[in-house]
Amino acid sequence: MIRFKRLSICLIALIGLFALNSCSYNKMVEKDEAVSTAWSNVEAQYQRRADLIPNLVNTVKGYAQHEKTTLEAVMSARSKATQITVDPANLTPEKMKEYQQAQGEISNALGKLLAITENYPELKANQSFSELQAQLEGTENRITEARKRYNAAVEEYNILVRSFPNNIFAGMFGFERKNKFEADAGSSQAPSVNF
Amino acid sequence: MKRILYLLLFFSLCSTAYPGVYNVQNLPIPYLQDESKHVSNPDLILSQETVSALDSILYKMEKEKGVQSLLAVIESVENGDCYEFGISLGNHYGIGSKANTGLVIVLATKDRCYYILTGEGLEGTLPDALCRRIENQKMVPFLENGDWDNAMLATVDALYKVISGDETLINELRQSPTKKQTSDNKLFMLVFAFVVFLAIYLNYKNQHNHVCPKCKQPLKLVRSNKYQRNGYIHYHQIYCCPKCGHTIEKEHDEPYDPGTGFGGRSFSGGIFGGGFGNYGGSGGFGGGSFGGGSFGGGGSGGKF
Repeated sequence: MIRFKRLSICLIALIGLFALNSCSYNKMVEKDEAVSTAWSNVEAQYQRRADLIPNLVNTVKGYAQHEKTTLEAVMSARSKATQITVDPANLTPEKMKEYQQAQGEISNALGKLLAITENYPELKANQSFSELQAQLEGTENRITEARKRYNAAVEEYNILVRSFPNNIFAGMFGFERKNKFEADAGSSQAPSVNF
Repeated sequence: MKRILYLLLFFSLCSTAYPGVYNVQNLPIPYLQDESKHVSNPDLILSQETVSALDSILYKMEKEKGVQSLLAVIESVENGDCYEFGISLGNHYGIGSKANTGLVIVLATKDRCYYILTGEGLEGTLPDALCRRIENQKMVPFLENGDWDNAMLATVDALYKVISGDETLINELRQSPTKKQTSDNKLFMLVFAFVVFLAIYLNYKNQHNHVCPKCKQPLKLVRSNKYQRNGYIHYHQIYCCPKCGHTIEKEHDEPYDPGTGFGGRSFSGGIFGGGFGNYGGSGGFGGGSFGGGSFGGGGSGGKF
């Protein structure tokens, strides 16, 4: 009878340990997937912005033919940035930096474009331009929100992976620390306006 | 000395939150007390008639299309940013129920900014461009004249027309169960499997693995009597060692339980019941509560 008891305790402990362990493993998988999803969402929002650009450029072109260089800068930044995609499974800091830099160039070029549209009252009064601008603003907001969520997902994942005892299993199964978005290099300085 | 400093700091913090400037924390939300009140009008900028007219449209919108909304008309928002204020309202309260179709409308009359924010499930029905068109045509012309009542009435009316024309919008009541329940299910399954396993194991142990205390040989069951007594089944069993002939008598009671087939072990019943308890949690849909909605930055706004 004693042997039976000891055996059953061992068995329960074994099952308990297994259940606990498999739970934390599953949790890590879950959080890892959440980070991937959040990253895909960030990329989707950047893509959404890239898709809006040709339309915007064409609309502006109709009113402001003299601003050729600005328009071309936007288009070239766009074509450069759309070539860079990052696989969520391979989110190295270098790749992310490259991606962010390319997208940052679009932001700069777009900022300049929107600044010059201030000089064209007819363009500003145009209904379709106003709606395009709304879409662009909405997309910028979505990008900000998606980046915030990505950072939150990474934080949750990192906390899980780095805390004890998960860090032991995380090392065993190859769950490594992930990187957050950092503020854009140029975003801390307000764009200068020259009259 | 330190205490006085803290006190001073506290008072200086208090004084910054003077009425008229709102953030997520200090904006009163009548909806939480009464689900037919969607308008937050703490500075009494809108007239009473307008508020009740807006409330009735927005209430209809929620009941018919599952679009949960919050309309805030205030003097100033923190940092003068209507978008920031609106999106933190939406995400803080989770406006939009389970279908994620939330709608937040903000107008700050002293900051002269406005914003229509759409929840992630509503972005298809109300794309940013459409929000901008509604604002340009229905809201801004009134705002420029300081006619807050008509600005809000015309805007909400236009939004209602768009939303009620969308057949794909579904009522949140018909949504599938939430994610949390499935994880509860998993836990339940785990406990259930464990209990079944344990019951089978114990049963097996009971019948086969009694060993002789002398020669460690498995004992053989030679006689087994059972009879019912006060709702229990009384077992009387005699085991015999096939090698040395040592006999052991065993007696035990088990609750009389013809249904479960678990051998009537009382603890298994207990855990079983506990597992079922998980099912109860998320039943009723409480009136006047937010939750489940998220805002991804959709919508449009501007200054006037």
